[in-house]
Amino acid sequence: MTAEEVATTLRSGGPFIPRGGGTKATWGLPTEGTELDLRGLDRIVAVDAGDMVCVVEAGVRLVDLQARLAEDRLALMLDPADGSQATVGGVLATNACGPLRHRYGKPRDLVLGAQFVLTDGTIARSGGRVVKNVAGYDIARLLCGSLGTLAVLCEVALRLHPLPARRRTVVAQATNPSDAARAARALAEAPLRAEAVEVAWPERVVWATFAGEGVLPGVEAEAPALPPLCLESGALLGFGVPTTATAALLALADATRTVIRLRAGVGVGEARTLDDEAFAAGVRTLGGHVSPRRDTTVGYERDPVSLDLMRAVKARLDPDDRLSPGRLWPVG
Amino acid sequence: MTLEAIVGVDHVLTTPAALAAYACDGLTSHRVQPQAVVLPATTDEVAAVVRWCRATGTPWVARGAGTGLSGGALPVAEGVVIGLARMRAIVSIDTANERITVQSGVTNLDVTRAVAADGLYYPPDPSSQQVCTIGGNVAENSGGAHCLKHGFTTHHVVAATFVTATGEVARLGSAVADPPGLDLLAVVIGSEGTLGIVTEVTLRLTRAPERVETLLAAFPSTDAAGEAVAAIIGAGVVPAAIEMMDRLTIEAAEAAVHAGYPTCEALLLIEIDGGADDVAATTRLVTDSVLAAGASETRTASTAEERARMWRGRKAAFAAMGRVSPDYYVQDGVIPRTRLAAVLRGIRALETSSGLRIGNVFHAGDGNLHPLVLYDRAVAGEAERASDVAAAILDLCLDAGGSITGEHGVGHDKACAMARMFTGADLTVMDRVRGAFDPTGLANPGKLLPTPRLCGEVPGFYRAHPTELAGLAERL
Repeated sequence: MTAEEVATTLRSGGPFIPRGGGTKATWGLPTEGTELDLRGLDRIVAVDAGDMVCVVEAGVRLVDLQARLAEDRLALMLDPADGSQATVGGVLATNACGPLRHRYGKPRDLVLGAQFVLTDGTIARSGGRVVKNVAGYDIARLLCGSLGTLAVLCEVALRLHPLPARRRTVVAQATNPSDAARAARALAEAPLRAEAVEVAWPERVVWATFAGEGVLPGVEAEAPALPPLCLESGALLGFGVPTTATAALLALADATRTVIRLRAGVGVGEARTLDDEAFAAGVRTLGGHVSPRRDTTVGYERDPVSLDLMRAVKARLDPDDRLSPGRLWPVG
Repeated sequence: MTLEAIVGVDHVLTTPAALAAYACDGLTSHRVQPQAVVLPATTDEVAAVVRWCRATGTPWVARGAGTGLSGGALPVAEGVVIGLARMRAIVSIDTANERITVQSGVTNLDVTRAVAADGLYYPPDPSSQQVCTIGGNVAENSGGAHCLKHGFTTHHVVAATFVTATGEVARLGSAVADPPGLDLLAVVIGSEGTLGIVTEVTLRLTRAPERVETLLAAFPSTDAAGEAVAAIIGAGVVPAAIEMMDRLTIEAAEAAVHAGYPTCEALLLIEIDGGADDVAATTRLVTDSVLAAGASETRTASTAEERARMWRGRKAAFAAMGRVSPDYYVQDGVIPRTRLAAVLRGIRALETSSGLRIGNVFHAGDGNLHPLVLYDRAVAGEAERASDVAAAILDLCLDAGGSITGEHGVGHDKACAMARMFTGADLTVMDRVRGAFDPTGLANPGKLLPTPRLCGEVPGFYRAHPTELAGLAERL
């Protein structure tokens, strides 16, 4: 599969829904169209160990890329809880994150450049292959989290990090929401910077990993084995809350029969809930927001002027609304 | 409605003397006098000025402190400059959530000053940080010496109040992470004032590290220093900063500020921050790496005063060039850092062939070169030769797989060079994004993207050459 073939397909009609491993196919509002399976874009184009940059096609599975990078003691510091099928393109298009978000940011923070195709068949690039670059609009970052609505990612350049020589995990069991919040904050503010600070609720587990030269050899605790949220039933929501709202969020989870995976130092996470309306309303009361991911009718609100700008960008890049129509806002 | 009615008669400048102060930014070789300079004090005033411009068809150029080095704030002769220097209020500080909201005219360093007592700071640190504004930093996606580990402006802005090119006010992003919808800030940051005007910015703050060490390493050649950079990165270390200076810039900086640098062909300044144990262990590792790469001498600085002295020469390097040359041009190119030694040899060759001296001072850790091409405009032809040499350096960067700008921006200076880095299709897509934000075409026209008027026969918007269409040639 090549970008030219993607362009030919896109010109042929639609609407199309770009997809990788299908692990996040329901994220966003409902959409309809023909699936455009990009798993044929499966080449790791370059791993430049000295520059800590790689160039890969969008359909490469994240696990396969990580295995290749580990040979050079490098890693792409993204660890979304999607199982083994997630592709690099899908992770970027959804801005999906896992615990490593705490230290390394989200996909848009690690992408350096992209080649992509518009619905009119235009094949274009933005950014480059170097870690520092301000030439032109940063369209590669704009495409991150755009849920396949603006363009089809074909190839991306990514910033890599060294695999830490030493990593240690600290696990604590909390008795109530405020204890959990206090423990998470203490871990996030430790002088030796954590790679991850997580709260799992209602399991009441607070855990953190630390990495670096200052991590002394010793007994290594295992990261807790927690069931991945996406395999269970109930509505799935992404959320963001102020980091000071951790205790209130966990209390809200108890009140709404919600399972939470929280990046406590960042204030983002995933929720599986049996009462999505009440959970979403509660999160908004805390000053946060939710993003629909699966089996939910919860939408989202943004200020009307910025929504107009989003619509204008979509209209310029995909004038006939042939890429994942309705994903960002209801059609019409 | 007149401009005076919007911002007050004292805040519309039209006299030639007043306008002259705004005729250029840090790229002083280009000057254009605008029709007027408008200095609004609020977001609503900025929006009203932009609506006035739209109603009258007047192009406008937003400006912070005017320290930009690519002519991004160069006025348009028939237009107005919208200066944001009066908008310098710190709106709110939320230390518990590590956020600060400031108006665009607040200086970069004042952000850190406002939160330092709470153990927080704002990491991006352009050399001009004492005077450059946050609004300008957002427009340029500014970097600095410490971006290697901590990221650029785009990694630290979480929300902005944004006056659109049609004069409406939008709230982009969110103080709380991961708002739903498109990440418009991703393109607004670094858009050089071509999409709208940011009037208020919410920044993510970073906790100040427990310990900071600065290591100075002297080398017998720039090649050896380049190899040391590769060795440090290869050892799995990401320092907060790795800066390199060559002999010419070391000598100029010494003469200017007496930083006490050793006499050598090249030196590295390496800063390591983090937890105390981590910094101690990492400093040992880095010291071993640079000695193995051939460093003739190393020094460390641990206290704030010692570190400030060590950095003084580096920070004064550009200004110090004034002592050794009447004029100089600061280039800003990026290369993959593994190509450092080879590209430096290419620059030396240009020095020999052009007869112009070139000083090198740069962010070695992220491959961002700042060659300083020295010339004397009083000598016939030297300015042109310097311009040719600067362009040739960009070609070296592009040939190595790099970029035409790492942090100074495209602006006016490199709009035509965009066509050397990007295809016509790439530039057309960027122009479509621009059109989505600015259907009026009045926002900083002539900047960032190449135009036929500006770039003559080589406009960026690629059209296949007849030989390509005939299959006789292909574009590589």
